Amino acid sequence: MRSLSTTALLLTLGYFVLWCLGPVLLADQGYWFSLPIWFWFSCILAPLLLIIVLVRALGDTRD
Amino acid sequence: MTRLWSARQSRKTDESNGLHTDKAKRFFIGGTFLGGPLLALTLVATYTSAGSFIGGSGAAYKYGLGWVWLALIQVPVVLLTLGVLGSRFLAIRRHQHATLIEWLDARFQNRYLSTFAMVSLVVGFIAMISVQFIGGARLLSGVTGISYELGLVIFVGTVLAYTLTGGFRAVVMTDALQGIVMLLGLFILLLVILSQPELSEKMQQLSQQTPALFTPHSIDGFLSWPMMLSFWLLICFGTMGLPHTVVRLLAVKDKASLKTGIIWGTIICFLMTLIPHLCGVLGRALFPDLTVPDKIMPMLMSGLLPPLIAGTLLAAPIAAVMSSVDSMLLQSASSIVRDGVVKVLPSLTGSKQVWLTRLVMLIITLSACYFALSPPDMIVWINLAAFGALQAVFLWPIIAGLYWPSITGNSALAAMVSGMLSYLLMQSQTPLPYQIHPIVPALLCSLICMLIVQQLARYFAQAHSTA
Repeated sequence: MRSLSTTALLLTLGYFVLWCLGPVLLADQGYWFSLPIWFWFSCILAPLLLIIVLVRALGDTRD
Repeated sequence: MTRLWSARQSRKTDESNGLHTDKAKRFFIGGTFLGGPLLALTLVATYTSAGSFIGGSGAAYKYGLGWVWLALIQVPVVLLTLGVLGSRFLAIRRHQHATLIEWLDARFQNRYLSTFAMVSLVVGFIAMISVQFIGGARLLSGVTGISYELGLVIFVGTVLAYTLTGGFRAVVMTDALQGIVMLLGLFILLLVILSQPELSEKMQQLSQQTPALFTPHSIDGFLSWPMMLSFWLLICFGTMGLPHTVVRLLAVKDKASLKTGIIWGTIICFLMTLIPHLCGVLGRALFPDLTVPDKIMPMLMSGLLPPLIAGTLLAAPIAAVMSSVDSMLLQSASSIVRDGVVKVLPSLTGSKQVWLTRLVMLIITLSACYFALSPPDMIVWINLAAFGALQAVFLWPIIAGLYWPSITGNSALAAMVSGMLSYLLMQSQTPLPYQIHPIVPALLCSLICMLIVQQLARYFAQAHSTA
């Protein structure tokens, strides 16, 4: 089990990677519902994933 | 109502905290009463200000989806603040401190550090309060049609009324209510925008006319990778050095509250960041001809809604602005009184401290109003500059103070002074190469100076002991 501070830093790092990946990988992938795919990935999916993982991870911390 | 509720709650917890014996401390901090959802709401409401609602949506109007992407850097702010700092504050808590400066004073026992911290906090907050006043007045005048000056008077009068009477506890309670109002208002506004029949067609037209607005790096690559990465320091990692959010950690109830606060705070932060910025971009499709980008939020409200509903929805952004300005007002005034005047006049009674704080609040308000009388077109840059200055001073001393037991007051003072000086120097040289934000070199310089002074102190201590 990790400490709360380590968990917070690791999750932030994970979010940072996902946030970067949208424009790096999907910048030319077209549009969905009038908004570009990179935007859906980095601005909608990445935060949602962070929240889901956060809920699971916080039950597993020791402080 | 908030005052009545907060007074009743305060009676319950004051006895367990021993706060009934210190009227001033009760006014300034209110005890360890912040449970999970309340903690989340007050943190995000304080953090989300005119910068997001007015300046942020205005910048998104101007720079497009790239700015929304930039704004979403802020999503882990609560996670970092509560997870990294909150857990440590809770673990080492021995005494109830009323202000951040009081904690720094107890931790480092260096009067130069405390004085420097107090002066930086007050100057930084006056700039940020001024930005909030501009945002609030602009909203009121934009939606109701009254003059900017009258809007300023009404807005400032309302904030002063409850901050002067209620203290920290009233500020936190109103923050929580304002947080709920903000979320509801934002959802309604977004739904109204999305239900516009011609929105999809206008978005397509916009993407054909100005495709750069739909790219991550905006027009002429303005939002470059180096700039984006430096914003990770400025609006995410660096927020651990913002005094008005950190002070809330002094009032956290327990570990369970901290964990609940992290989850709720991250969800609320995501919604409160995404929706106003996205509204700014969608607003560009609906109202493409605004000359002052900051006017997009009031324009969306007054342009898409009947006057009565627009007036009601105005409560959301006004709440965002108020919830930040009240916290900064209370923090700066209480720092001057608790950390400045009380040290010179230790016999000052609790009642007199509270009255003096109210007087100082009035003086700070008048100073901020003076600067708000001639507002710029986009407030986002002033807000970010003041944000960075506070971080350059406070970030490393707070983190080192919590996690590095042997760090000395002189090392922390070196970090503060070098952080502030290098930030001001870099700010005067903007734009920096590759559009890096001045906070990056400033925090680097602050860290290096802190490490050098710490090593020197250790070297001299060893030399002294061997001699």
